Amino acid sequence: MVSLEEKLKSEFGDAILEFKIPKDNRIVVKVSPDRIVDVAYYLKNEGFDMPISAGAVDYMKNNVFEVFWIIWSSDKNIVLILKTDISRENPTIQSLVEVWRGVQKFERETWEMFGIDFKGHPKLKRLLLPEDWDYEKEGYPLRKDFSLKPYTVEK
Amino acid sequence: MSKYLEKFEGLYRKLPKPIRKIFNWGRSFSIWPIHYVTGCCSPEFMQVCGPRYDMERWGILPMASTRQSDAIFFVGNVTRKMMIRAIRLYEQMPEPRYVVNIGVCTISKGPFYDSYSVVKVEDYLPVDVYISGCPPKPEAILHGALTLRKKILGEKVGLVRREIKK
Amino acid sequence: MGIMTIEEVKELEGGLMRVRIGPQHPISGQGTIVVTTDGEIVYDVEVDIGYSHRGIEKILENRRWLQGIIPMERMVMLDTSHVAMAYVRAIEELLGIEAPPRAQYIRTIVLEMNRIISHTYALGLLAESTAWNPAVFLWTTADREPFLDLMEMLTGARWSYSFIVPGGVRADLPHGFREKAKEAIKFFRDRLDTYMDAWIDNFLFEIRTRKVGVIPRDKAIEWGAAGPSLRASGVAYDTRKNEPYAAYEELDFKIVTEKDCDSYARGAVRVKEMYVSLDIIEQALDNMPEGPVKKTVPQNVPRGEVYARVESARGELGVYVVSDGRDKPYRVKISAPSFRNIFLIEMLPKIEEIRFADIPPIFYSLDPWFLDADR
Repeated sequence: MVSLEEKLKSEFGDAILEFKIPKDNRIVVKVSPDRIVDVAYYLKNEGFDMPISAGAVDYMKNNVFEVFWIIWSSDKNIVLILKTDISRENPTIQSLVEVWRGVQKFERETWEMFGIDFKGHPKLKRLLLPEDWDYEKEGYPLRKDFSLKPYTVEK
Repeated sequence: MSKYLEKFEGLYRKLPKPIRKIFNWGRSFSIWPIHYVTGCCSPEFMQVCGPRYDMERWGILPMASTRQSDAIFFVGNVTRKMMIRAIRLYEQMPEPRYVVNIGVCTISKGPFYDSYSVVKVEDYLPVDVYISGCPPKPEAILHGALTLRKKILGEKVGLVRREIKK
Repeated sequence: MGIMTIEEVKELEGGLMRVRIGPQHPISGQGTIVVTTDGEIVYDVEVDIGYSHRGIEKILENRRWLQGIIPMERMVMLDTSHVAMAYVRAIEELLGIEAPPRAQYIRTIVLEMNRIISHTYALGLLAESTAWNPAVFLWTTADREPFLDLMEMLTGARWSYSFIVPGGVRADLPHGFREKAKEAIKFFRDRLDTYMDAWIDNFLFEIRTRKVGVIPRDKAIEWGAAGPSLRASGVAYDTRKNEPYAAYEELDFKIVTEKDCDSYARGAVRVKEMYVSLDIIEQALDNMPEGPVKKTVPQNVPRGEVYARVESARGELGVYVVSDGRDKPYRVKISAPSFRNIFLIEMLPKIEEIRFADIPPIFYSLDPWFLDADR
């Protein structure tokens, strides 16, 4: 896919931080967070149309959250992983619900587990955690500073 | 209404032993649980309802509504969000009622021993029979149900008042 | 049976009611559908899940690589070996090794038998929701038994095997397995013919499910459907052909698609896939190579991130694993197929008119298994 890399770099220049092809039908693209929506629309026009998943990884040492979306293209049969880095103290990013309708539920779950705010999402409501879960006392479950010791059954 | 209940309870204790035994015998041969499959032991419970390990010949008929059932079988792991609803179901059941734990996740959280969302049933409700296994074989589930029957046959009082802990 | 218990009914303005079909209902699993209706036409559907959430993604960060197969398998009890296969595929890709050929063929046999075990459950539920109970539900419960006995003969357990490990499989085929498997396949083929005659080609089933819950092809792709629900809308997407794993590259089989996009098509796709599975098992038993079945693997997995996927019975199951060189994973993100399928019913009232009595056939033709969606 040399032509896709050239196209992206010529269109967006410095916003593309990384472009890797680890295997036959996998592409990994890392983008800076302010141009994420434009890159997403461009990729949709290139044929990447089915959303498979979305989530986040917590890198506490570098003080960032890495948010990723996984998209599949139905005519080229390639899986693309779109990533971006946001800060850990004030985590907000633009939601990609306007581009692909199917990422709505994945972003809702990521908001619930990490506390990342997706701007423009229509329904950020609690999905999987119980209703009496208190974020002040117990914290966000999938962050690295959430410890499972109080919940462990002692032998 | 409650004074009739108390009168009935007092009468039941004073009944002669053969008549009490007949009531217990009738109750033990037809235990109707609420169909309440919560976790991964549920396919095994469905196999017990199937034609090979038939549960209905022992009198156990699942899928009843809560107002007409005798027992609640917790099949599989119970989460915090579901426990609130389970307590409500327990309160809707008429007495005498029994609780059976199937699977090791209800006894001591099983392979999810450090999960933030799974709870132990005995912290919330009084339990009668424990069946262990991950998932338990169908013969083990039948053995547990027959242990419950033995417990009912040997009961001395008719109406058992049990308190909910939380 | 086939009737759902209504827990609370509230009055809204405009004469609309909000009906909550609550978490304890006799058909399957725990999940709630909140339906806004005026008695006949449905205006809005909302799905409320999370009653079986165990937090598997957080637990896996606390388990070593081989120990992590145990909670992963219990994520979905009906096709456990597919979930284990996805995790093992990711670990083997990070390590850069491949299992020996005999192990790949044995893995294929276990995976296809799991697919049959799971599809019989989905069909039993669909039958129960269109008022064919208890006959077809109990047929499917009984027809699963020969395959469960075969699995117990091979691995020692009926549902949760821990049989597929990084480096191969745990044990070789025992004596007498091949003959017993061929008997079971012959028995099940006759039963499938009975299902097609008595149930799928039947006028009463068709009248309840034809032209109900139509999801057109482009909408199915945009909303992210998965598995048989996607193939019933005409999209030929199957991970066994897109990215072959185990022994699928050397075996000969077809992908089943339908053109109608309605609930009937979703039921028919599952029955036809079971015919294909029986053919695959027979081919694998006849052409199995000789050799060892397991390789030893190191304890620590090198750094990297990988996305591995398999085709489970409900759809594509993907695992995104991030490793930082230790003997435990750093982050595991599981993309569950039922999570993608359950939310399709939220989008349906916006494109077509649904009646209240159509909700069970639509919802149970999507094969919702709430344990899978909640992880």
